[in-house]
Formats: sequence, structure tokens, C-alpha cells
Amino acid sequence: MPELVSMAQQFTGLPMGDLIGGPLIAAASANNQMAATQTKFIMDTCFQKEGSDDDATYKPVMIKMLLTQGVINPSSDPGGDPTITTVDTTFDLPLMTIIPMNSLAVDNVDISFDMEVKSSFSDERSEESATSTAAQASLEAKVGWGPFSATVRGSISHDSSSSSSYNSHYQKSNSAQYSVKVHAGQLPLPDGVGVVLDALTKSIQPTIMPTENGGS
Amino acid sequence: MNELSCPACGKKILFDPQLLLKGQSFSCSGCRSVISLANEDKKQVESALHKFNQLQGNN
Repeated sequence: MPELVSMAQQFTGLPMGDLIGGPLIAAASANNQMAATQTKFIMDTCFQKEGSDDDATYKPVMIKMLLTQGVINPSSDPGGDPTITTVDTTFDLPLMTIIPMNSLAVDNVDISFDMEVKSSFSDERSEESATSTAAQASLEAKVGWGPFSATVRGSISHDSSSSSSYNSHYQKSNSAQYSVKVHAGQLPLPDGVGVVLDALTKSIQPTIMPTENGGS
Repeated sequence: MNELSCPACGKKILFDPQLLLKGQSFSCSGCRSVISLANEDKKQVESALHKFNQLQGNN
């Protein structure tokens, strides 16, 4: 009789480290690659490199923006109504501040591994026997002087049948399913980029210069 | 939507870079000043946004 499969043996040796760690490492690597690409984009597009590689400085690329403000002009006539006019001024804005920096990255990894080991053994025996006997006899006799005749008739039958069957069934099956679901979504802005953006955004605020007598 | 500080009053101005590029202006909720992109730098912004969209598409 074959032995049933040892379950422990079936699951021993599975590369669980690779099964779980593989997709995670791949996702981290993809994120790393995307971050590096984005950093390169920022440095190449939004900054201007000055100086040599050893002593390079990066200046933000500035773009011109128009600021339209309403200005109230007091009337030159006493008691006259003030007039409102619009004044256009230009200001420089770092290009980086208008790029929607939130980037795509892998934010969820689902790993699922199902393994099914089936092992079954069945042994079936059946034996059947049948016996039937049928006997039939008839006797006919004529006794007498003269022509003598005697007739004996008889029949007998015997049937016997036997059958036996032996059925042995052994089945073993393995099935495994391994699925990795990766979801990429918009990540919040990295803190470092946020700090740079904040500093650049503040740099567009007009600075009030002190007057000659020291006031502002 | 991106945001920047209003140069006039310091309040946040929300804007869409793509719409800004198309010539739309955005107003400050604090002082009603309006910002828009100057024509002279439209090509530079368009190029940068195009590169950025390509980057997003590739990823």
C-alpha cells in the first residue's frame, strides 16, 4: 500500500524568502528608480547648473508671471470719487513651483501564495459468488409382461458463478497559485522637496527696502 | 492643483499648471490680485510640463 504524502515534506523547501521578498524588493527598486528619475528631471529642468562638477551650484530656473492688482486712485478733485485702475507687474517665480511634483510610486503590494497538496488512497475489494442447483427428475416405468419397457427420464443442472474484484486507487496532486498585486498611486510630496518649494515660494515675496532715514 | 503664495498679500493662490499654460489666470482669495503666466516664458513652461508628463507616462 503506498504511503500518503507527508504534508510537512511538501512544504519544506519552498523558497518563502524569495516568494515574499522578491516582489517587495522589486517594488522598492521601482520606487527608487522613479525617485531617481524624478530627481534628475528636477535638477535638469528646474535648475541651472553653474560651475564645474566639483564646485557646482544650482540656480532655480525662474519664469515670469504677471500680477494684476486693482489700485484705488484718489480723485484729484476735492470731494470727487476715487477711481479704480489695474496695475500689471511682473514677478519671477521658480519653475519648480508650478510643476505638479506629486509623483507616482508603488504604494501597495499584495502577495498571495496558495498551495494545495492532495493525496488520497482507496482500496476496495468485492467478492461475489452465486450457486444455483436445479434438479428435475421424472420416472416413467411401465411394468408388464409382454413387451417390457421402462423409461427413465431425469435432468439435473447446477450453476455456480463467482466473481471477485479488487480496485485500488491512489491519487496525488499538487497545485500552487502565486499572485502579486502591485498598486501605484500618487505619493505625497517628499519633505525635502516641500522645504525647497516653500523656500522658493517665499522668495517671490517682495522685500521692503529700508528708507534712507532708517525706517521701512 | 498647485499653490503659491500671493506676492501681494501672502495668501495661497490655487492654480492648475495646464490651465495656466493655456492662458487662464487665477485670483487670490485674499486681495483679488490675479496671476497669469507671461507670454515670454510659455514655451519654457510648456517644455517642462511636457517632459514631466512624459516622465509620469513612462513610469
